[in-house]
Amino acid sequence: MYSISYSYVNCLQRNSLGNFKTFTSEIGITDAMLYYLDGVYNNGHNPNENYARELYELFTLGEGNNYTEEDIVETARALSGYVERGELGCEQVTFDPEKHDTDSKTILGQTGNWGYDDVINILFEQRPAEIAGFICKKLYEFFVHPDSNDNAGNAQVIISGMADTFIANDFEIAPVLSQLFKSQHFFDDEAIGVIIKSPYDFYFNILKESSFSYDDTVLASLINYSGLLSQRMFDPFDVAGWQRNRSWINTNFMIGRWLTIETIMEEFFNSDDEQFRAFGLSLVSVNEGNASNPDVIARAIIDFILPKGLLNDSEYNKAYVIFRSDVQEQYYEGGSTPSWSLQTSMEGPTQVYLLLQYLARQPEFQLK
Amino acid sequence: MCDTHHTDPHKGLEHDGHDQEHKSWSRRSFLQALGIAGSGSMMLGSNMLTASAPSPLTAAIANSETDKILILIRLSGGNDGLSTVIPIEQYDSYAKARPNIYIPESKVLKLTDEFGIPSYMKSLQPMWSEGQFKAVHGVGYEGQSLSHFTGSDVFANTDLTSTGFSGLNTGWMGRHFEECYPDYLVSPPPAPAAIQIGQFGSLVFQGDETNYAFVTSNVEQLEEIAESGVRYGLEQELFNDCMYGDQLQFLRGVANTTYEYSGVIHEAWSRGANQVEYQENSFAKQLALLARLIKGNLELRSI
Repeated sequence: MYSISYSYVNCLQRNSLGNFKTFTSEIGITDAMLYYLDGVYNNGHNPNENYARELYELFTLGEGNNYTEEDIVETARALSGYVERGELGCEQVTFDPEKHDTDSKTILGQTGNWGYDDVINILFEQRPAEIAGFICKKLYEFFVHPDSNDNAGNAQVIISGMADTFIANDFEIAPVLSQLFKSQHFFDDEAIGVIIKSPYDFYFNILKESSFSYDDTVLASLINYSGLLSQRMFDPFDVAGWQRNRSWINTNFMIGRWLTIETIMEEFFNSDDEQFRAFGLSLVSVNEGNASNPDVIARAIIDFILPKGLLNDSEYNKAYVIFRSDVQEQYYEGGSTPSWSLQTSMEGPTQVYLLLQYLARQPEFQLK
Repeated sequence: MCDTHHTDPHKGLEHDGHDQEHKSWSRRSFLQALGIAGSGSMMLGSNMLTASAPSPLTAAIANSETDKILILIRLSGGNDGLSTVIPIEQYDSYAKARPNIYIPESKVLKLTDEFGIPSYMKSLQPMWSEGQFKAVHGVGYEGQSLSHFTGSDVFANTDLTSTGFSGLNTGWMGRHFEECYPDYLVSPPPAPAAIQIGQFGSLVFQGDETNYAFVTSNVEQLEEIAESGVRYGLEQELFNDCMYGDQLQFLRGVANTTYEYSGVIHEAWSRGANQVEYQENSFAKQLALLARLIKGNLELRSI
């Protein structure tokens, strides 16, 4: 059975690490895009420019980046004809040659009787540098740093390198990401912890980092919570997509993040408190006796959960107090044979739980 | 990205001033200002309490109805209750049961024919004769839990059959407040019902619906809040000049504002009251709430 959503998601999955030119070509004639940006109303006798405009402005070149209004009008005509709608959601949109504009068009300086495939070919042949620069900047800002316009031009150098690789590999995405993820720059201290978590990052990063067990009910709540915090999958506010970074944060969303993460942690704890002990133990080397030092363990958890730890010693000390919790001092101070250890103490899971609850409220927890 | 060559000429000066501020506003002076001399949990509802620096918190506390204050100090750790308030009527049994640590009879100060205190607690003796010192003796329960958490939960919950995460998660004060403020979440009292200094692990103020205490992790944090009115410091010198520092400063600011606005919004909500009836649909409810906030003088510039 045909499904608009399936064919759309399938297109994203097949192409996300594939060839960007193929991706661009395929996404433009998914039903999802044809309906969303009015391709289904782009009749050769009465062109609709909506998709042509966004193809250049949002998806490949960037606003006003070496194309004209005339290019948009001519491109819309070349893309016309995908208007046979059938029953919405049940039948795939098809191309009707009768509704396609067969006159001559001039696109990015190239003149001919162009159709859909010609538009994609001309775009990638005539504007490779613009596409590569625009897309690599997006990748850089998504994966490395939200601001790629530093005074020293460091980011620009990296983006140019990525763009060269993109063009040299005929717009294959994987080699570009591979180069970026293996670069020293990717691991620079100044590039760590500078991205504000999206709602999905917020919930699913901790799920992955903690390795806590979950089922479909948990996933359904996390997806629901993400929606409450304004990120509903495949449903951004407008065609420009989520603006990310600080747009994820306001006082309302902040309260939402605090309350929901608290509930989630509590559910994890109630379903299996021992997984909190296991999580703590996974972060310290037990052989060195570290599992008996509460501050060493707390620090390991803090530094693992937060991208750059806490702000200063005073903040660390507040967190240590939380982790030490109600366990009396003398149990920590047994010299060579302390009587507290994370492996054996019955309080262990609760202590890890209290610390995680505390950390989840800290401003640093919003960064990745 | 980062401009590491940027330096702020005011940084050093600001930093000095910041340190001085902290020196002059010590933990002790804060406690004196609050009128308490130890840490633990304290409940306030009084205008007797004055702090040198006015803050939303102390103002809220000062506005409550009664001048009675209950301060609960929870000492964590071990203590021999029978060596603290000594049953002198049964001195022999007492001494026999703890041969190594009993208080010698010569060092026991008599309070009544039945009970005495160790001589190192002599400053409490005159308070006893003035009626200002009372003790509840021999509090405990059978089959004591040796877990620190379950043990303290039992005392906070006071219900021996249902305690800790496996049972009913409430404390005796929380249940008391639940009766005082049945509508607490919808219309909480203007001042916090209680202030708790210390872990949020304690159950004492936990009710079925919510925790009734304004909780701070430790007294330094309460001091910071009372002094500055904000939870997280935003002084420039705390942050580096790079994007990370910038993002963190931004997020701390939003967290502060969130705490602050939730207070301000609540104040306005309490002051305002709807003049007309609104319909029972979600849009009408939003309008009703906004009208109420506006009526309460919430100084919104736009909605």
